[in-house]
Amino acid sequence: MLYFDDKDKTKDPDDHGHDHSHSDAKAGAAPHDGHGHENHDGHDHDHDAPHEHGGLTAEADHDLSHAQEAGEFVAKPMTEQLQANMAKHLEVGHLMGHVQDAYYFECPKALGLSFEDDHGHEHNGIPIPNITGFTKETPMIGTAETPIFVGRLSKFMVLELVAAILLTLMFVWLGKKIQSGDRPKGAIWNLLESFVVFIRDDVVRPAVGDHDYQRFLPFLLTMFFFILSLNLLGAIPYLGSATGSLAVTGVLALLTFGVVAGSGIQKMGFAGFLKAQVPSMDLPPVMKVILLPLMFVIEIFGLFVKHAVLAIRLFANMFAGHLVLAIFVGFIGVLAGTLLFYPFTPVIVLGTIAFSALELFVAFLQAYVFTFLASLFIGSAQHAH
Amino acid sequence: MTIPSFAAIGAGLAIIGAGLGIGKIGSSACESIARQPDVANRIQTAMIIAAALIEGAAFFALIVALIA
Repeated sequence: MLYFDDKDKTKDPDDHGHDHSHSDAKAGAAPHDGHGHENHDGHDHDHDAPHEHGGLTAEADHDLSHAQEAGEFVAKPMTEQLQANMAKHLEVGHLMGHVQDAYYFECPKALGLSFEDDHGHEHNGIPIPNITGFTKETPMIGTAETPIFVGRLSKFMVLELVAAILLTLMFVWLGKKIQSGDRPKGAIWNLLESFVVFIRDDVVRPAVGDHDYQRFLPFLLTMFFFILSLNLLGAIPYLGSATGSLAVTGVLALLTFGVVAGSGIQKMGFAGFLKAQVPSMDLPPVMKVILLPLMFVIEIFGLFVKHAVLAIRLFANMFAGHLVLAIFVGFIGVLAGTLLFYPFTPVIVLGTIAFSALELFVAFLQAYVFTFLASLFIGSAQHAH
Repeated sequence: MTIPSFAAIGAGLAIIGAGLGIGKIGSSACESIARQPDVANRIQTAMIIAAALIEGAAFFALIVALIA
């Protein structure tokens, strides 16, 4: 199997990408590329990482034409190239970089939008302006060693704002339409209303109970649509899923916990709420003395665990889904520069499309499950066990 | 074998357990819905609650595996 002669690669195992210092050297023979790749050399590829998706196909072709024009084919074991690619494209930090929060929006490399962040690392994308003025070194809460909350506007915050603004516009519009008393007309009106009615009649009402479900409907509808829109924003390439961050889902679960505990205490009083956590059992008095304190501790613990798992479930589903997608696309990068690239890339692309469709389903499912469990918890806080 | 590889084995074992559990719930729910289509909604509710509980336990195992 063939791969392109690149002397630097054998010398420096870390810099195995598409080394353009090489093509620079023979710029006379081969026309130079205009992608701005030159500045790749020499910085650590952890940070160099999050920009491979867009350019992969173009780049592999690009390298091929370079080498062909230069007329240099050197036979080397393909496994070497694959291993080098794997270390670059399937590296954990690199993959995480695609899924986690960042201070810039990724862009395809071909757009040529590269910038340098505060630490001097090169990224392909659009930086988010630092409005609040906090950095990792000077966080809003905490110290530079242990930052608790950095407070700088990040990609996920921007996406959350976008989701919130979109939802506000859509539902203010829907509310006005419904107030007019007309029959639903048009795709958007019907779509939104069928979602709202589904959540009301099939999720919240059976779970919370006919008596007071209406009090919690606004909260649960907001939760559903906010989570759903964040999940769906994550399905758009180059954006990210804010629900793939434990901080975001943690706050959503904390709000749910607040509503559960708050409404329970409002209804039954603080002591009543605690007492209602323990199911009533027909037991002989001796057993009751032993079992009841035990049950109480377990149930109170379970109350916290339930809500923690609510956050973890949403986070894990979105995070893992996006990580798997990143790995799928990373396979293309692994094959780049070898002849395996041509037969397998279409397969990988089709696989990625299929998995994205599954992710689309998961986006709806997780929003539904979160809302459903939240309404179950609220419902169980309204009535004694 | 390093600690991460043991953790990966642990994660795999946890997933086997969760998969078996959720699979059992799904199969039972399908059977019950086939027998009693009238109460399909309530069966579905119970199914999701049980699956969510199992999922929660599996996530705990996964987090322990991740931390290790």
